[in-house]
Amino acid sequence: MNTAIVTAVLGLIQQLLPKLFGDTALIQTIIATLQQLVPLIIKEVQDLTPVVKNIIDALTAEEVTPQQLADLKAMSDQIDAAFEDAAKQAQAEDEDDGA
Amino acid sequence: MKLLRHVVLAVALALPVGACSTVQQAWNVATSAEVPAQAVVVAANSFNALEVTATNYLRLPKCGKTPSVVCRSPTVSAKLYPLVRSGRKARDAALQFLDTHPGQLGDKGLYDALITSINVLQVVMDQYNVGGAQ
Repeated sequence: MNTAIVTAVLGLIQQLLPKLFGDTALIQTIIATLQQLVPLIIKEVQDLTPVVKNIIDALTAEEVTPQQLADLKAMSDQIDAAFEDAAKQAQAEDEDDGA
Repeated sequence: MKLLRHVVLAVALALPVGACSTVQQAWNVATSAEVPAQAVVVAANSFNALEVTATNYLRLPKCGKTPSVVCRSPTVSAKLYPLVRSGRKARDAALQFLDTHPGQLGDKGLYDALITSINVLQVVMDQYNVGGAQ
């Protein structure tokens, strides 16, 4: 349930993003909300902690540095590999059971 | 665990409160064909959050094989595979543009494609309560 809450909040931020960047006060509110979510994320859905941290960093950054981009790509590669591993096992299980 | 919590909280609380005006300026100078690089990074991370959630769902026991009420449906799993993989391509293309155009704004078309992928994946995950199953 908590994972759904976190992804729903991130989805909402994504939808509002163009408007957010035009309103500094609103950005501050969003950042404060994300910061309040951090303890919950750490406790319940640790996998999402670096993702939320990256979003906070991006919303407060003056620019995206090459290092930030490289770190994001490295993290994305790890996330992709984990998904493919889980997908491979799930598909094998489903094929074995004829699902 | 405690150390991790302290580190993340320290990072979150140390955020510069005045940096947002720069981001706002970045958005203001963007043309209709461009978006701030920060917006692309936020979108890429939003997609990653969905992919992590989808991964955790796929790791659940298959429905019907165990008495657990928290389980993974093969039908839902099959819907997730192509959506995540196509979204990944959109994310990578948007980030690749930033990589090859350092210090510049992001491409609006690539950004929009990523947002579309995120929205489609989010709708399916909400419909089947993928995040709530964990």
